[in-house]
Amino acid sequence: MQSQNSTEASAFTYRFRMRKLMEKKMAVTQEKIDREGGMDEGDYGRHVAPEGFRWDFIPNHADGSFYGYMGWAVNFESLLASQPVYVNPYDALAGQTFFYLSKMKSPQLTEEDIRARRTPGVVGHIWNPDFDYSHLKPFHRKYHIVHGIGNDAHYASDLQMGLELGWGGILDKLHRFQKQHGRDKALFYECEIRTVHAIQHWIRRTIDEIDRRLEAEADPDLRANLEAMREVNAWIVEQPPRTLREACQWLAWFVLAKRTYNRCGAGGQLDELLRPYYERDLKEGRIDDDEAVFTIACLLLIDAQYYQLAGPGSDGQDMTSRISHLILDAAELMDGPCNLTIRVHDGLDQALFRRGVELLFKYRKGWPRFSGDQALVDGFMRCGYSKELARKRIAVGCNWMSLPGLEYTLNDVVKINLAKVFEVALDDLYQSGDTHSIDSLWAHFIEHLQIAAEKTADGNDFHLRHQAHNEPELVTNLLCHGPVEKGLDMTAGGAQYYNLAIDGAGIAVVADSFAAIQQRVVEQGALTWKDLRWYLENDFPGSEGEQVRLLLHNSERYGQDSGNRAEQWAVKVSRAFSKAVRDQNQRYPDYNFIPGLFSWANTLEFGDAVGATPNGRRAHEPVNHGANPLPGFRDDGAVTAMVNAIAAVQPGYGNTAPVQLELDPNIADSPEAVAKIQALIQTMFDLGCTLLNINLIDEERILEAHKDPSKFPDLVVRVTGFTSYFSMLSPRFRQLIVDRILSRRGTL
Amino acid sequence: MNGLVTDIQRFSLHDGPGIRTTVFCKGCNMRCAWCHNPETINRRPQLQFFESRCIQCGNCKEDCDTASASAEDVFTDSTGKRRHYRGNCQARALVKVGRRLSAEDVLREAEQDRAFYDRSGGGVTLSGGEASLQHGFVRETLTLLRERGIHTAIETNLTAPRDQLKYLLPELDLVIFDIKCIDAALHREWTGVGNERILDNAHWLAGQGKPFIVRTPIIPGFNDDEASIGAVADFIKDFANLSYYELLAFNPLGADKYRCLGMNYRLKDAPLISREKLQCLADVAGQRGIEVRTA
Repeated sequence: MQSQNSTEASAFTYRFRMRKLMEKKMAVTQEKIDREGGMDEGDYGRHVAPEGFRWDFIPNHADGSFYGYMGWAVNFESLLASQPVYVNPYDALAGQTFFYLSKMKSPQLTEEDIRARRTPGVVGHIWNPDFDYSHLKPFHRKYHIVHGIGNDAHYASDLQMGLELGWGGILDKLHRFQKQHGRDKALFYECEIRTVHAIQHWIRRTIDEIDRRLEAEADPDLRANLEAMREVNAWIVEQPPRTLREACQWLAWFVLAKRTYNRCGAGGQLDELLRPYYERDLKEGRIDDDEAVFTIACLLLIDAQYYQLAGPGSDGQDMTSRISHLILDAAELMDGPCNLTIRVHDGLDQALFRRGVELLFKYRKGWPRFSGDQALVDGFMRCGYSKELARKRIAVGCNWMSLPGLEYTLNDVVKINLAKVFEVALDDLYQSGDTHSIDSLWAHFIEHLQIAAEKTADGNDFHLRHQAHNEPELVTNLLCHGPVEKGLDMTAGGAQYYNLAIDGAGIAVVADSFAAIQQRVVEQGALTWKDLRWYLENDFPGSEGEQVRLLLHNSERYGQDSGNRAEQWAVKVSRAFSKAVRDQNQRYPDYNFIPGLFSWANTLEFGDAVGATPNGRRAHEPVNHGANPLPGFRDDGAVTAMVNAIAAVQPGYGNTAPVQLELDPNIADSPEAVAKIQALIQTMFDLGCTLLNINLIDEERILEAHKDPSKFPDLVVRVTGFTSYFSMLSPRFRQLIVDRILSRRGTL
Repeated sequence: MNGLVTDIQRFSLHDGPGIRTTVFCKGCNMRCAWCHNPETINRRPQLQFFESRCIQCGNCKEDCDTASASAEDVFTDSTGKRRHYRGNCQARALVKVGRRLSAEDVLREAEQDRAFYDRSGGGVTLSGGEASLQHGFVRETLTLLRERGIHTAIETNLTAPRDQLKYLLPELDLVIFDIKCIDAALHREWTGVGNERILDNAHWLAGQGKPFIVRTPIIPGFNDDEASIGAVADFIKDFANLSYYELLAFNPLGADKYRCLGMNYRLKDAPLISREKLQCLADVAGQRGIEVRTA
């Protein structure tokens, strides 16, 4: 035990150690930028392998890539055995990710290929070509559907199970069920067992590295830490953890393994996972709060997994405990990107809530986030689940919730571009010879929305029928309830529930477009249907075009005023989208399709695919963020107006339509102001909102960083549901954030 | 009765308790040199021209009709160009400031944020300009709000005749007023109005049992010294229903508005008040035993 206060005078304090670790992280981040350029996704803490390191995957298919159980098991095994191991003598925990196997399958990928893989409707390089879905591709292109076929992870494992079993226990369980099944499941068990052995071998190689460090290390403090690190790892390579440090190290290995395998970032209810270990250590005098905080900070630093804090347990009682507060302390000590979500409900510990808000504004790095228990629980229960189960569905992803170990979800990877559906509908109306009317346009929209939802659901079904032969979930299967018992991959019948997420993107573009047509064309006659078509097809050319564009742009807008034309359309679009998604349950009774409204970082790609729209949006401009109104929706940008609008369009089945807020950090500059922000958050959840991501825009700093990102390597922004170093984002994505700032200032 | 309003701002965090909606009434009887809401001074609708938004469409071009147009509909920009407001500026570069709204209109907008008021202890603040100049409309609005259980506040310069204050007070849950300085001559020099009635009204208000907040904008060269703030604090320290005293640091954010209105801004080059100085002045006031906040 090392007391923070008592050792502050000496060099080896927890704060000093964390500073050393953060210096290393900053250096790694800069190295990533220098060697790999920007990327528009979360910063998970991955390190870069030394220059010159080379690992080639082992293909098992004629196309030169690898697929299926054996393909993945062999390559995972090979990668873990070859990649560098990471030990830092200042760290409480060992290990780090260097690679994502799922991104290494096609090393010949060009920048263009990588962009294409993110582009909705475009076939990626990750799918096993033996399974052809060319019958769906025309629809994916037509409606710009992010189909999710071949996508991985995006659901949560039951980390509690791992902590209870340990690697040895998991192996025992695999062997036990292997014996109960016949030859037909032999491949599954062999590959799962090899996966566990590969992870254990990785841990043992790390222990060897610790030994090498110990031979050379003269500093007594660092030696003592390395010895403790060795002891922890030597125990947990087989046995379930007993102490907080062992538990954190065990979680770290599992997190790193699944991240290395396929970038899975779903964590769990971190306070409840760690509470028994902390309480036992404390009772038996093994630990003090300073050490607990440092150990947890190392876990947060090792990988920015999504963790939930607090919220009601299955009995409805708030789960806040002492360690919930310590986890916030740890995030504060670490002071880097992290993804903690506090679940807000009536019984929430107010001190934790308040602290969360204070920290959000103090550090301005987008953590913690807040989720709304009531709407999430009520919505999920509307799918036919119990309240107890609904409460267990926790925030462990960018915009999403998951039942740890129980459900397969395809969260956040399946999306329909509603703006594209609208464009197809409008074009159809013009081509059809039908009377040009708003009712007729709506009928065309509904018709195409229904087709888009059907084809998306068909894609999900196709994915589930073949994904195990493409990319089985060998790591996360281990901590789910079903796969090991049944000998089936999570994608192939192993899961207890198949709650498949389908998100809609671009709702504000669609709602504002309907409203603009209603107001300017139908009611005011300021523009004819024919003129509208011409201006859209020609992207509002010249000065006259700009006047028409502004006329449309200044129509009533979603988020501007409760109950105005645009908001009525937004509600109508949301209801129609939910219905179209829920209708798929009739076609696929084994699945439960759940609608959400979220665009992730695809606002650019979704916008790229859509020409000029009747809301005065020029061709290829981005669509709105998630369920947010478009920038400039009100002159005062009133948050309350935005919240009312987003609350009104919640799909209502337990998946989210997040509120993405960008606030001036100075608005919470006093205790009274913090209380007001708390009230704001509580109210938005009272109104039915599901998730809140707040980005505190230190505007001047971001504008300066945009000019020269290298000057601000530690500037963290919350992009959508995830946090990222601003400097790690691609120039185009940085521009999007800058444009939002300029829009708020009325200078764009 | 209709009122003339420049703006209704929702999610206001600095105009009273909780999350509030602030209604900016148009028209003011003071001419404060630092005013950062110059569009609220004139008691009539007026034009504002945002040059950066202009797309040169020509819709406001001067023509033969311009000479006979109402003065309210013609704006002379910084280059001397006369722009004729015809209500068809799609770019919203040439806009008319000041909408005629009924109390019901205000209520309708305010009620949209009721849930936020309820959670935060917020409500609606009538501000300006000087709200009491439109006392009929203000009273009607306050009455409607209170009938719906919405907390009401007014931000006033307290120059209104006593009868008008008496007329409004029963419908108010909170009064927020400025004491800009105690020295009457200085007050007149910087605001165009003496402070005798203000101080008298303040004394009267203090005896009415209504909670109130006193504010002082800290303006460079006017009252940004310990003696000025100490004098205000001395004046209010024994008021029974004083919730707190708030010092508001000068901000130059109104400069652009003056330009868009074609007005001169006397304080455009004035320095900002440093955080340290603001705290120092707050400490001076706090020594009188009153709660002091800064913003």
